[in-house]
Amino acid sequence: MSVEGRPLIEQDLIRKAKRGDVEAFEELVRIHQQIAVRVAFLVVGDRDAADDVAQEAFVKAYHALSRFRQESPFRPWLLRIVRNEALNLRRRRGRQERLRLRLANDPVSGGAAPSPETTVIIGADRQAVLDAVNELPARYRHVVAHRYLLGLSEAETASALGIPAGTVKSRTARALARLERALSGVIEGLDRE
Amino acid sequence: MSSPLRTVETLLVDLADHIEWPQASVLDRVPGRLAEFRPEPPRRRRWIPVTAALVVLVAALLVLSPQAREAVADLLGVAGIEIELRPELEEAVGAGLDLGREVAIGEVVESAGFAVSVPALAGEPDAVYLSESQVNMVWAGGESLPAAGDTGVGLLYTQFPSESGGFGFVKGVGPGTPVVAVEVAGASGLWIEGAHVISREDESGRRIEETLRLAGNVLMWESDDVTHRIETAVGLEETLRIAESVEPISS
Repeated sequence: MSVEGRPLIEQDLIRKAKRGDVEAFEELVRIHQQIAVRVAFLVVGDRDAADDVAQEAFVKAYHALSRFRQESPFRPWLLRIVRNEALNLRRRRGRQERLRLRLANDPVSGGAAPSPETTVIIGADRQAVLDAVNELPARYRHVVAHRYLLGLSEAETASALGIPAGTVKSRTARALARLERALSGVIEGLDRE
Repeated sequence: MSSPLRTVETLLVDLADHIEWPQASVLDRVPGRLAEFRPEPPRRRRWIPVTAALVVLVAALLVLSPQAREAVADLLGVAGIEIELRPELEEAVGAGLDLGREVAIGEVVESAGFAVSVPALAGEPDAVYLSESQVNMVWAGGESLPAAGDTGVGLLYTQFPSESGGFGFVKGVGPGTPVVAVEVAGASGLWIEGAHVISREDESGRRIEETLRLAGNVLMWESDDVTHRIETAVGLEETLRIAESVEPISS
């Protein structure tokens, strides 16, 4: 599926799913399930629960499709439902967020080819970056995670988190400034390479 | 040497590919659940059959004779007989609640003077009203949002610029009315069941008494210098779900 073709195909899938075409909706699930589970994970901090939350959110999204405005982007609408479902679970459990992101043993496949700059980033640097992200206040960590770790646009992040785009912009700037200070040693090391 | 901020962004993008994310197995489990549901049919609007009937009537007159065509043109006062039948012919939901001037949602986004939001879970409002700087959005009662009393309104969402910080400004809700402190997407809020009147103070200390339109349950919270208020007949959990789906409308 080409990037250019995706919106049109997706619009078609949504139109069909609105008429009750389950296969069309399954294709929407296939396209968006990974990001949905990750968004849920960022809220509930529990791997199994994140999958359950995403499942529940997709079922609710299917049920609510008639209220989805056809011309609107689908992903932010879906991720908003995912986040609300995840917040509901967190509230039912009565727990505060305890999410700690971890590094995988093997890098996730399917990413873009590494740039020359990223090839010099070593495991210790990555751990330092992750530690710095984990230490950010929640309001900054959420924005950084959605923008850079999930790769959402500013508008998508605003919609998924339910905050104005201007707030996403200002929190991103403040978070990056904090990370720059926390990672000054790593950054100097990269500059010497 | 690249700028430090650019380097931080590069480090974060690199990190994204090395996070231990949970595996998604949603696709294996969702299709079996969909049989439980069919997508909700779009809400029918009563004006559609009325419009259709008028169109048929006018079309019949046009076919009948040139005199009839002229008569219709005179009646409508439109050269070339362009007929526009608007849903506003029917009284809008919440029209009797003194919520202000009914406006298009696009107009309110332009003229409210603050970032106007809408609860995504509720979909597009059935009617929008503007009263000075107060925006009122109304959804008709239905299966999932029962109408409060005899108002026909299932959900009333009000937004206005906050006149003072925090919720200290709520000064009274009437004797015996329980008030519960809640959190709405990280913001402090209040849940009030069965309130008819809320009194609050503006920044100059002037006491303002507000009559709640639905006399049902109220959730109030403040976010980014805007006070939000939802009035419904449903309980706290469902109202919080709606509140937490609130998102700004892009102009």
